[in-house]
Formats: sequence, C-alpha cells, structure tokens
Amino acid sequence: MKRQLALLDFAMGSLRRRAGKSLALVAGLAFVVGLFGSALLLTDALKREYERGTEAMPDLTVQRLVAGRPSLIDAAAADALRDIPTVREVRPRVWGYFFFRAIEANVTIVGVDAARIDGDPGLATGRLPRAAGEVAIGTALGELLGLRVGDELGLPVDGEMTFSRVVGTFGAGSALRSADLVIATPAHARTLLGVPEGAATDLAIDLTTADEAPVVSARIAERLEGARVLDKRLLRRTYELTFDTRGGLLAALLVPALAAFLLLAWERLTGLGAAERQEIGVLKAVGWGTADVLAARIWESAAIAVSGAVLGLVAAYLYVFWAGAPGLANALLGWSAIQPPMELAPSLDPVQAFAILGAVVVPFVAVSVVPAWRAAMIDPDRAMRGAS
Amino acid sequence: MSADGGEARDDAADAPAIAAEGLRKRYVDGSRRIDAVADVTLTVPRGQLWVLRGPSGSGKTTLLGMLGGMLVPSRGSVALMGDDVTHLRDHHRTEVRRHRVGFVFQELSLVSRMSVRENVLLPLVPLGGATKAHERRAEALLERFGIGDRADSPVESLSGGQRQRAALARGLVLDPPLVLLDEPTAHLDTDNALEVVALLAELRDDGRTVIAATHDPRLADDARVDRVIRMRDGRVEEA
Amino acid sequence: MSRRFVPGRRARWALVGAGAPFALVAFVLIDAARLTAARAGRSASVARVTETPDLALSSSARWLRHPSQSEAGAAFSDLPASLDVDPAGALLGPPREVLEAGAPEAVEIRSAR
Repeated sequence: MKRQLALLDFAMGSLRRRAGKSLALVAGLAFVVGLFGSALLLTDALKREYERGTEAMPDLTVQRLVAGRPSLIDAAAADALRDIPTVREVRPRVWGYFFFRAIEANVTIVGVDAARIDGDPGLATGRLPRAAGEVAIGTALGELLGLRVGDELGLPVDGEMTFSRVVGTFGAGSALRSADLVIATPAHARTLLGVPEGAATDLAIDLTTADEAPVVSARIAERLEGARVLDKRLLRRTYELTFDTRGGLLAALLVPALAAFLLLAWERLTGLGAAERQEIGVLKAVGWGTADVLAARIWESAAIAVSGAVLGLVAAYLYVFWAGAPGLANALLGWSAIQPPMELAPSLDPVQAFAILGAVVVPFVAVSVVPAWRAAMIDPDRAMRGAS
Repeated sequence: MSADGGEARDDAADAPAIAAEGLRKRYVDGSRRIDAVADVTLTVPRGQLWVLRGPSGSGKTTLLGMLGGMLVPSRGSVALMGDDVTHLRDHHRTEVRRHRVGFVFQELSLVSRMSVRENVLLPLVPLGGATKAHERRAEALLERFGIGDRADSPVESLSGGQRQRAALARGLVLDPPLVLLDEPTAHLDTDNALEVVALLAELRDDGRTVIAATHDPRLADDARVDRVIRMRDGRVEEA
Repeated sequence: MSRRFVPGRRARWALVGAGAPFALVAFVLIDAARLTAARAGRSASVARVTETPDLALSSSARWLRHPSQSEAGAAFSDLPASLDVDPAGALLGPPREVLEAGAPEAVEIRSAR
C-alpha cells in the first residue's frame, strides 16, 4: 500500500513533467469518447423512446393489402374476428397523414375515442376531443400556426373548408412525440382524412394472452382475405433492427476519427522516446524492479485514461441531453420539416456508463504499458547505452 | 555515517565484497557475436577503492553492470558479500541491487525536469517513499557534496560537476556497502574531477568498497586508488 | 519547479482527485435519472393516446415511420423517383416474418404438360 502510494506519487510527478503530452492524450481521448458516446447515447435514447411507444401498441394490427399496398379495411370485418379465442377487443382505427401546405410538413391525424383513455392523456392544456369538430393539437403545430385552445383550424375537405375547434394542446415536454399530432374523435378524423363511412385504416386487436399472437394471426389470415397481420413483437424487432443499423452506421462514420486517434496514441505510447527509455534505465539502475516501473506506468496511464474517458462521457451526455445533440440529430433524422426539441429521456444506467469507461480505459492502459514493459525487461545495459 | 540500511551488513563478514568468476557477456549482433566481456575473474576485498581502466569499448561498463547485478552474465558467476546473485530472479536481484549496490552511471544520470532532491530520493520510491530520516540523510549527503543549496533546483540548472555529485548522493542514499561508478570524472574540469576523486577516497575510508571504471588518468593515477585493473577488448590485462 | 518534495503529497492529490471522475459519473447518472423521470412519463402518456410508437420526427425520416405503413414491394416508397437514401435499407432486411405477414399460404402450380 505504502509502496503503491509512493509509486502513484511518482506517476503524478511524471504526468506533470510531461504535461503537454499528458494533456494532449486526455483531450484526444475525451474527444473520441465524446464522439462515440454521443452517437451511442442518442441512438440508445431514441431506441428506448420507441420501446416505450411500442408498449402502447395493440398486440395485433390488421391491415388489408390491395395490390401489395396497405389499403382501407372494412370496419365491419372487426365483427368477424371478435369470437377468436383470446381476442379481448377489436377496434377499427382511423388515422393517417395529412400534408400541411402552410408549414410544408406532414402531420399525423389520429382518431381517438376519449372514453377509451383512462389516466393522463399527456395534454398541457384543455382536454381530448369528445365531439365532432373538436381537435387537440401538438405543440409545434400550435406554434407554427399560432393556434391556442378555443381557436379554430380550417382544413380543406372535398374542396370545402372544414373547421375544427382546438380543445386541447400537448405541451413542450412531450413535443418529441406530440409535435405533429392532430387528435380528433374517430368520426371527425374520418371526415378530415376523407375515409369513407364503414372503412378503417386498420384494426387494432388486444389479446388476453400476448403469447397467442401467432395463433390468432393465423386464424385472422384464414378469415380475412388479403389481410396482413402485424405482430407487436415483430414491429418492435423491426425498430430495434433499424436503430442498431442506424447507430452502427453513425458509429462507422466515426471510425476514421477513432482510427486516427488510436494511431496517434499508439505512436506516442509505443514509440517510447529516448528520454523515457533512459528514464526507465535510471530507475532500474537505482534499484527499481520491473514491477515498480510498470506499476508507476499503469498509474500514469490510468490517470490519463480515466480523466479522458470521464470527460468525454460527460461531454457526450451534456451534448445529447442538455443541448439536444445539434448536428448529430440532423444526420440521424433526415430532412424533417417539423423539428421538435430533442428532449430525450436518457437511457444511461451505471452498468452502461462503466461499460463505456471500461472499454476505453482498459485497452488504453494495456497499450501504454506494453512499451514500458519492453523497455523495463530489456537488459538494463541496452537502456543504459541507449544514449551513448 | 548511517543509522539505517544496516540490513545490508548482516552477511558473512569475511566474504569479499565481490567474487566474480569466469564472467562473460556475449552480444549477438546479426550474425556477429561480440564478447563485450570475455572470461574475467576478480576478487575485490572490502573497503578498497579500485579502478577499471581501459579505452572506451573495452568492456568496463559491461563488467561493472555484471558486478553490480544489473546485467546477467552470459557465463560465469558473481557473488556479492558471499551471496551468489547470478542466478537470482529479476525480483530478488533487484532487492540485492537496491540494498547493497549504489550505481553512479554516466549515461543513467539524473531524471530531467525533476528537482535534485527528488532525484536523490528516487531509489526510495519502490520502498514506500522517503521518511523524515531519509530526507535528513539526503540533505546531509547533498550538504557534504557541496550542493546542499541546490536541493530544490531542477537538475537542468546544475553544472556537470554538480550533477555528478548529485548522482553520487543518489547512489548513497540507501547507504550501500558497495559503490560502482562509470566514468565519474568525465566532462569535469580538473578542480571538479579532483574533488570527485577525493570523495571516492572518503567513501572508501567510510568502509565502503568503491569500484570506478574510467579512462581518465586524473582518477586512475591517483595515489589513493588501491588497485588499477587494466582492460582491453573485454579482457583483464592486469595492473 | 522549486517545490519542496513532501513524500506522498501528489499521491494525496491524486487520491482526492480520483473522487472527481466518480463525482462526474455520479452527476451524469443522477441527472439522467432526473431527466428520465421528467421526460419519459409525459411521452408515454401521449403514446397511450395515439397507440403508435411514432415520434414527431417521422414525417420525413421514413426509417422512423410506423413500420406498418410500409409498402414492401414499392421501389420508391418515400416519394416518386426517390432513391433509398439509407444504405442500410439495401444491406439489411427486416425480419422475414414482417414480409411474410399477409402473404397467401401456398401457391399452386399446374404444369401444362
């Protein structure tokens, strides 16, 4: 213990003596960890956000395919499915996208039966629509169009302006999910989207036993000609795949930066300078063992690696969750016209944090110890004569 | 002059300081084999000042390294104070070197960008750092060698002679019974060189065994030297 | 450089300094928990209303759009003449089952001979 403290003390002195090199390594490490950490934290948080969303999905979604494309489904088809065992509820849904010329963006119009929603619907002001002609709208939409509760929003339907009164707005806190939303009653949504009476966008099915999904899917396919049945778990897997791929691509874009840093670090660490080699020779000559030289070296590079990695992690965290990842988010999200603030809920837990740190610190320390070990194992004579 | 470091003295009192037998150090350089030291047998009694004299490349430094347990000989054996150190493992050889041998090597002088005091206390780091007694001893050594006022200066600010004396202080901080020096008077003007020679004689008078490798006649021809060993091409030519 | 060498002083600094990374990591973890508590709940409430995992980012980023809205066979499913901007779409397929869903059970072949 006392020996390690003394070696630690020496290592801190070495860091100070090589302040320029030490700081450069800390900064480089922080930069690389910051880059990778940002990509990781951002994709992970988005993924987690979608996971939370998939929880709200019905167990099965039934669509009708016509000519290989999703098409409107007969709402009455729901009646044909209600008696399948383990089916708890079948709901014809009306929802879709609507292009707003004024803001040059798609909004999502969703027909919601307010009676079905128990608990907080996440509105900032007002309530959910209960009658035809009422809507609740998302923040971005409200801000862009200057709409508040009580105002009316006119949308062209069949060449005529159809007005809807705004009865509720979603807050900035849920903007990531609600920014482009227009919630209406199912009947009103039908009007706004031009879905004919008796038709639905899809059928939402809740099961008493989620595990029965494949069996129920098969039964539905038998009963409904041209039905495409989507399992919640399959959709979730699709999201996961998508995000892993996206995150991986983003990380791949950063690989050159990583490679450059590793190369630099390798060069700096393995190309042990003549001065350092000679220093190791001195230490051996004054009675230091190989283990002592290595221990001092480990302290030294661990201090660098831990500082760099932690600074990088903190920078990545602040960048993604406090600043909303400007720049990186754009690369990930494309050309969206409505860009709500990236107020993601971090999915960072201690295990993940220490995994990131460990993945940086351990190899870094290992790489930096190798040359010192080689220098310390060499016949001290070589080290001794290195300069002569 | 020391209260500590007594553990180095608890060996067979009659054994010679160094008993080297048939020492050889062979380097392989590509296809060439070079014997830096070939078949050297030496017995150095305690409390004497010896000089290894020879031109550069004659194997003095290599021999010194093997005598102090820093280099492993290709063949032969070395016993320090009666204990064979040739076949010790690295760890144990380090122990022996630490407590019995003080090295003052020209090429392995001081660590730059460090103060003189830190340099002198460097051997104590693997032992858990310097105690107050060690610090006092280091101060006393620096004082004795006339650089007590430079203790906190960075080594870069020292003259060649001062550096040599600081290195000597470091070699003595653990109070070793055996002191090995490589070219202790190199790059020194005559005043400084003679001062170093006087210091070596003093160390011998303290009861230490001192061996210096040099080609400097100011040291080799000094009357206080007990014996001069001449070396050429890795072999001892005799005094 | 003219400091008095006090053994272990820098080591004590280092040990005290070692607390700093832990404090920083702890800060990040605590703040993450705070933000998650503040943000996740509201978002989940909205999801319960819409019953879709779509984020408001989906309108343009097709890869973020509700996967039930895909046209598996369409070459330009974003817009007419659009290229697939996401190379991953070409390299990695969706789970087979998603494509299989809705496909007829079997195809019968009658040979002319």
